[in-house]
Amino acid sequence: MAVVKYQIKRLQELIGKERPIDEIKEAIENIGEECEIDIESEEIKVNVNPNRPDLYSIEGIARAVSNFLEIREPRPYEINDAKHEIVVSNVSARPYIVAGIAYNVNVNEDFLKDIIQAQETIHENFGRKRKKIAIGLHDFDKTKPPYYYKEMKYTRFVPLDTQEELAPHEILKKHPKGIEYGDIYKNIDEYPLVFDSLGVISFTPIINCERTRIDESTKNIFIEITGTSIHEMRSALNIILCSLYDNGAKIENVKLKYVDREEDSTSFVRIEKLEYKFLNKVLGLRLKRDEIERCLKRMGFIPKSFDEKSVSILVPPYRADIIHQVDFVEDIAIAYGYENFKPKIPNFNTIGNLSKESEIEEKIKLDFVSLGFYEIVSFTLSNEEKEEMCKIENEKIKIENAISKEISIFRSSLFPSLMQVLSLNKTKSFPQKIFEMGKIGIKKEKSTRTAICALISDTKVSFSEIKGVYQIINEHLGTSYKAMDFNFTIPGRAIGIFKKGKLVGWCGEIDPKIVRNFNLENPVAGFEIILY
Amino acid sequence: MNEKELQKILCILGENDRKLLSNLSKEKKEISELGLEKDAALRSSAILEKYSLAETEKLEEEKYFLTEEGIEYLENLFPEQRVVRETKIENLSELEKKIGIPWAIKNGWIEIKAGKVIPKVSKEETSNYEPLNILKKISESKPLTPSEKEICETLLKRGIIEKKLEKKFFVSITELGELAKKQLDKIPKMQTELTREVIISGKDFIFKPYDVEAPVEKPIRGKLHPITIFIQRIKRIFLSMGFEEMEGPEIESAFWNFDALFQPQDHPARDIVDTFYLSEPKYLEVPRDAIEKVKESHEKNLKYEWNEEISKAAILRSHTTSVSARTLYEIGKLNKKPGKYFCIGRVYRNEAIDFSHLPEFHQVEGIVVWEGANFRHLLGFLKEFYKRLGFKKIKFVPHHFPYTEPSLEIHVYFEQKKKWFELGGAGIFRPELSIPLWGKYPVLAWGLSLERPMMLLYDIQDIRTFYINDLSWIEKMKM
Repeated sequence: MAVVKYQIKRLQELIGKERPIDEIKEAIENIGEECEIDIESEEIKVNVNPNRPDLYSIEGIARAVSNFLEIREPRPYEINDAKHEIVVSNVSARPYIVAGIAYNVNVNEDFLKDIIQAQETIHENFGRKRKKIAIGLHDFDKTKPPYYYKEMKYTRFVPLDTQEELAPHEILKKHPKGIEYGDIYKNIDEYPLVFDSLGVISFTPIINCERTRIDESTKNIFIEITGTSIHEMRSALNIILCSLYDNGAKIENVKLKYVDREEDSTSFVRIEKLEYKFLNKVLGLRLKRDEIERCLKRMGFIPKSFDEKSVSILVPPYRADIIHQVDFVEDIAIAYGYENFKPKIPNFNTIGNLSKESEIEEKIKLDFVSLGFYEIVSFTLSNEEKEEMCKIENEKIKIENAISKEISIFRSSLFPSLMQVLSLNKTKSFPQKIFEMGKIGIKKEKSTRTAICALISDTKVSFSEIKGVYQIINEHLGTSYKAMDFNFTIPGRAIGIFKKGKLVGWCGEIDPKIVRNFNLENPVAGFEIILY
Repeated sequence: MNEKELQKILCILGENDRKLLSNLSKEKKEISELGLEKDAALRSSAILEKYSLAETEKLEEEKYFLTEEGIEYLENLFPEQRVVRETKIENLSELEKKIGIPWAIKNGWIEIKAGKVIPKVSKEETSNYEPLNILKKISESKPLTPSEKEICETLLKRGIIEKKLEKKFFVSITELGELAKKQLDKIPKMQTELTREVIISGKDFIFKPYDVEAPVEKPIRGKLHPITIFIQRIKRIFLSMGFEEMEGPEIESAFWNFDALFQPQDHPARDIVDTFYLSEPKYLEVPRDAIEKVKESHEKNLKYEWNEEISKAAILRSHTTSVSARTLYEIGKLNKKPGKYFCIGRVYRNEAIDFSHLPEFHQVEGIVVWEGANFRHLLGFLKEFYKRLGFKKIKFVPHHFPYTEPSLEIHVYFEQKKKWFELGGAGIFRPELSIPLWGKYPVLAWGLSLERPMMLLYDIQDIRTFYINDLSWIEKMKM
């Protein structure tokens, strides 16, 4: 989830009417984004969900709030036809580019701060750390069209915030941004570059050139976006262009000229249908046309025409998340207010049923408890060392990427978990009788099974006592046994437990060496059986 | 009280109690004068008082004690006395300079002239120093006169003596006690233990009565873990609402955990920082027909090239919604009926452990697979569920999940803390998810926290508490 911060004063100005910040906060929360007011810095902090990248910009939030509170009706966004073009070559590492131009932008310090925040937030989240989407902003008047997108090995330019001319491979080694994002271009010798008629303006997605830098004297902005998903890049371009439009700028498309065809960078016209029947069926309501119209407008949609079965909706260009009419349904539900829905238990009669596993689980646990055992619930994630301490030599299900050093496997036995519990409780009163019913990993089945393990520890323990417990539990299991030795039991004092001829467990007195491994002083006897 | 009742009491008395009783008289006696160790005498006097054989009286008396400094002064005189005995300032200790000189001047014993101590009185005149006499009296526990007590206030301030409360107990015999005392030697022989021999002898016995109100040791009992008890409670709620239990594996393919749930393959939640990936096994098999349908849904609706290998990666499920996806597929294949299903199971997140985060915890999953279902029904089931769990006040807050639309978060109001708490997420599965798996729409779905409501209901601050398995915690938890 992305966190963005907006100056309360600027947000209030953009919303239009002076509204108390608490009302604004409530509106943002009702739209579905968590937020917090920081009184000291006079900022509002919004946790934006990943489906609404349009709210990464202050203009986006302001527009959503003013529509929602019905301060302003949503307006159509207009984009002028392209006058400039980008010649797009085949760039294998990063195949797509789209662009737009904004004229008469009111650039000042606050504006720059907010647009950079929006740009960076899109990069990190929607753009998957610039891999999928990277936005470059340039002072249009310092560039010389037409533009070119191509890959090249050797060319030099002065990157942003430096004076020295560098080649792309040098930037990857020397420039802080090159070091930060360089991983994108491992094992590549031709780099994607955006040119104007004077030279490189961007080594995308790493760094722009110094020459086209935006500052407070900038009037017109050239926006280029490169990446791997043209669909989402268009959404990002629309989000930036609409924000600039809301700031009073005039915006213009840019023509993309491929070897074999031409197309516009983006389109602002998208009309989708919503069927009333679908809407009302999903929500369990009977909304009328005027209610639907009002709800749509409060969420920024423009209903164009209502016919018998459906409404045609102009989808604002900044809404990247509308892929099915169910997306309108949610927005209408939000505008209607979740608190206004009357919860209802439907007349859908079905028969409740426990799984077979749950039923046998309850029976076994009841027997253990009536035998005076405490139930243990422990972690299934473990490590090889812990199993070695118990001389458990099963093949392990291994975890590749745990951030905790304690975790490297899915346990293959419950026995080490319970030994650890005894070790933790060594200062408590004895006898200690514990059991666990839980999952263990079976490597060759690439899956888990449910097992039970029980341990008894006291100043004196005996095989006959634990075997007695096994026999009671076995009434539910139907296993058989025969004398057998294990790595971790005392020779001659253990049995192997079998089901349908297959070894499924053990029962016996635990080897004192293993008991000492856990710093325990009282002896231990136990059993473990794989159930199902 | 008749004689029989009195005898019953006498039978209960132990040896010490009897000894104390025989040493008592009508006149109050201090507890230490009664021929028993102080603690034993206190215990016995309490028992005698319980049966109205004696009366005790507790007195608290303020008493002075010498501090370490006071003991030192008593041995080596007060510093002001020492100053009079030494004329050269340089021979005086720091203490004598700092404390002795000002006090000696105040007492009119010396003058300081040109850095020299000039005594105005003789050593002998300072020998009979009232404060010193008081120290002596205190050390010998002798009573002080009122004027001496006034001086004690100064000594208290100087930290030479301290005040402590001394408790004294006095015991005297009651009339009933006098009666009992006379009968002490007439107690009959009694049977203490109730045994098999008593029964088979066929004889009558007089049994020694017990102090039946005395505390006894708690027997050891078995106990279920609190998580199991809570899970059983939740299962009962679902069963009573007609839900059937579903099962699914913890070791899961990314396919059922993410892809089948319409989560794009580059979604941040699939990152290795959030999800546990396995190295052994590395991949899991996924049914061919499910792959085809899910691939088509992703490519058509999310407009990207879907990768089969990514979907086969073996992971530890990050939510039980994977079980819902499998159940929907089963229903789609007609192996199961549409209906209401639930599951409670472990889920895994690659997170560092702290008081509110664990790498594995439980989730409560539910789906309603029914063409007639709607959003209000979803709210209805959730409201009913939490009401039965003990949360009366609930609200639904808009939220986003990649697999549901509309989506919501469930917040409950917890009266004791006067705050709202987020307990889970819910929504209606997107058609891009339910149609490939089930062939129909809609499916109501939720994934709820298990540990969080437990922490609220049972006032547990640290989520790790559940998995430490401290046996005394399990023993004392009242569920």
